[in-house]
Amino acid sequence: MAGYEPATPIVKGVDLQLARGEILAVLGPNGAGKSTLIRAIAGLLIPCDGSVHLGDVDLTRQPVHQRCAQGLAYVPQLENVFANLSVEDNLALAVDRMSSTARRDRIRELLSRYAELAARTSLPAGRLSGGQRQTLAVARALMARPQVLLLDEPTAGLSPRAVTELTRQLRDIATEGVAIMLVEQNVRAALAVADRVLVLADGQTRLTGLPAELSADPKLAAIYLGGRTTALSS
Amino acid sequence: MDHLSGWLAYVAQFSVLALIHGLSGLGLNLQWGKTGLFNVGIAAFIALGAYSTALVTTAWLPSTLQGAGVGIVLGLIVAMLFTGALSAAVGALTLRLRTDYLAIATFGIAVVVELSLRNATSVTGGPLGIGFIPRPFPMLADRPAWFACANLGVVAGIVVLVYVLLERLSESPWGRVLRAIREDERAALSLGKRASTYRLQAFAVGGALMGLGGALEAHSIGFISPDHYTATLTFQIWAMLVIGGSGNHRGVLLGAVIVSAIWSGTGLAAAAWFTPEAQAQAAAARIVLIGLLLALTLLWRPAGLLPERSRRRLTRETQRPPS
Amino acid sequence: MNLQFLADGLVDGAILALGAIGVTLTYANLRFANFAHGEFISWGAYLTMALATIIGMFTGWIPEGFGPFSVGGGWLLCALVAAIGTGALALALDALLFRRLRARATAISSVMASFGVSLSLRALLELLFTSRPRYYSDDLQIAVPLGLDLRATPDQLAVLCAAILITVGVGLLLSHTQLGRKMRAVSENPTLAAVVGIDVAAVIRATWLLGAVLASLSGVAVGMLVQIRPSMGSELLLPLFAAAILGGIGSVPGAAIGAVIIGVAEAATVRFIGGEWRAAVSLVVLIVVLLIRPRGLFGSRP
Repeated sequence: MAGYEPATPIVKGVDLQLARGEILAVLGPNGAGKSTLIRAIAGLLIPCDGSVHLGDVDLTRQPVHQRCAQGLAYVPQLENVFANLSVEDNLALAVDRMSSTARRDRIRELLSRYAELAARTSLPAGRLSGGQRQTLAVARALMARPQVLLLDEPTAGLSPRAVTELTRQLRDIATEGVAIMLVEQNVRAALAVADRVLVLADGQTRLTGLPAELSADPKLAAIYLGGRTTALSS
Repeated sequence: MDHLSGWLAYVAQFSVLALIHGLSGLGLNLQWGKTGLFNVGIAAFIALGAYSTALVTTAWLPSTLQGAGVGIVLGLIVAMLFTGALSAAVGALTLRLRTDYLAIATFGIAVVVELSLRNATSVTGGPLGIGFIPRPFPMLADRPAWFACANLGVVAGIVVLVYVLLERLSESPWGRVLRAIREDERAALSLGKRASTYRLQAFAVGGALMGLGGALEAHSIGFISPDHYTATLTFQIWAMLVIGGSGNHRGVLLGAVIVSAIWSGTGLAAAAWFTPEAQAQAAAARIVLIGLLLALTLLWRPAGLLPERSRRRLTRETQRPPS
Repeated sequence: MNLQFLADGLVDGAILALGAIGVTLTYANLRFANFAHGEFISWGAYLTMALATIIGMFTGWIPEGFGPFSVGGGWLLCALVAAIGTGALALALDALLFRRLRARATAISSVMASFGVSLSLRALLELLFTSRPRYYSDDLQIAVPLGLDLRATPDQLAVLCAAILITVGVGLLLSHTQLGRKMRAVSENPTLAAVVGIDVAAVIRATWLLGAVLASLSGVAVGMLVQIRPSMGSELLLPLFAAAILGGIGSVPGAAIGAVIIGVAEAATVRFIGGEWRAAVSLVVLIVVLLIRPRGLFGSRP
């Protein structure tokens, strides 16, 4: 379970919780604060107010690189793989406290799920297609067996086929018990994969609920088109 | 009376040199304080200014013009044009590249300039340098105190003129754009190519000022040699900026006076306390001292003694990136 | 035509390679041109000499050559300890000065500070040791013929072999070890590296250490083959930067190849133009690279 309650000038008063194996999609128009929110949880930004907890552990003051060890994995939107390193090296980086044989085994284990990566292990990541790069970024995030996976606009720039593939991967990962939170611009893809949806506007939560409910809700469209809605009290 | 005039000559001479270094410092201020470009080869630009005016006034001008005031003025102009042009060339080559390539390129220039000054003997006089450079006020040549004061008047006048011009430049639209580029990199990017043009202009003018400083020094002292233009000189000019306060013209001049004073003071102390054999080591000790001072300043008062007056920020806020 | 300058250039290139590898790695990871790198070279050479002298004072041990080489096991041990000492110096500088500058302002202050540090460190050497040239050994070395009308002293051959081994070693470190992967990751994208779980500060410290150790060893090589003076390191700074930029910042093989090219070019200049213009070669190479292909031979596209 993870909880978050910040109040920065960008994000003012968002309170959310994530359950094991659940996929939460955070939607909202440009400038709503979605990216800021997820980057704050990942540790790239420090909230003025509020906290991030993973289970009983308070992550709020922990530097970025330590959150990985705590079970939090973050996939940024842009530049999420090391283009100059090979696919295998990208994966190997993600696990540290492991002997090299154990690491190799883990890499092999992960590659068995992603055939397109397995076929290209020594290729520099910069030569992969957009979809393959995204797959690599997600695979890399899974290397350390995280409890929570954070994704910032994972479908951005992907072909429709790649989007379907990605959502299928996310479903599989959630089934294994990983909690997933993704920020998305692609509303349809998000509604298709999420268990629960949170809609932000102007840094505050405006709507929350199940995808089926929300896709029919006129308030959703209103938020995206800039209509005024009241903020949900937390 | 002699004692007094000797003391007066010393103080005036010290002030001239301090002001001249301050002038080079103002040039560096334009390059770094205003635009953040790090020049490691300052001594080379100063040297080129000195040597170009020396060559103009001792060798290239017809002998009727040599020595006359006109000759000196011509020499100063040539010095400024040459160093300004070279600065522009270096800037054009490196400004669009990685941050420190400019530093490395200017460092390379410093090395090669020193090399050339020592070895291209037919042109530069080699290790012995160039002598008999005409000094202003030839009628005062045998009255050192009067000469020093008159020279001080001229140099001070030039420095004041440059200072005023630079202040006006800072307040001008050109100066405002420069400041915007320095303070907000994104604004610089939105200006696109033109940001690098502004930086280039600032770099060139700064280089020209360094050349002017070198040229004035050549005419004040009357002879120049490669030994004077070393990394230590570059270091001293830097120290003036860091200690006095960069980005800010008064700070630079204050730093010039302070560093010159420390340098002269320690020089006198070294001469008095160290044996002749140990003079080289004494010089080394002075450098270590200034180095420490510089490091401490960088750590504890990075803005220098006279930090730039923080100008009122424009109320227009920069847009945050979406979501 | 006498090709001896090729052999000399190769040896010079070998010495430069050790320093250039350090420069390229530190520039890539620390993200600034460290002008104090030259002083790590000088300090390595002087520390080795000082160590041997001190040990000699207390134990009466006289460092000797080994076979045809002017340095032996004792010297090498001193050199290794001195390398660690130089590494400690680099870490101290980082902890006291550079890390605080990094936290505060732009990378430009680091360059300026490194320039000042380099002058001060050099002056300190002059203060402690004077600028009188020194040597590890007073033995003269006889050059042995190598065929093709080339000659080289045993010392030169030893340095060449050592440089090759070390270059290959560092290359393997970068490509096959976890530390090497982390270094490559940090040199490409430090933010992503942190996100992935890499302790970037620790990698930076490791980079400082590696760079200083390599510089120290190259200082010992210069001391062996030429002489020891306070300015020995700073005189190599321009060729080192040129070699690293020619090879492409961040590439170890690039730095080594760049170093060899510059070494041979310098030797050719000495042979055909004149020894006093040797330093100009690096500037010419630098300008050509910046004009034609700024990212160098193997550098990544900026």
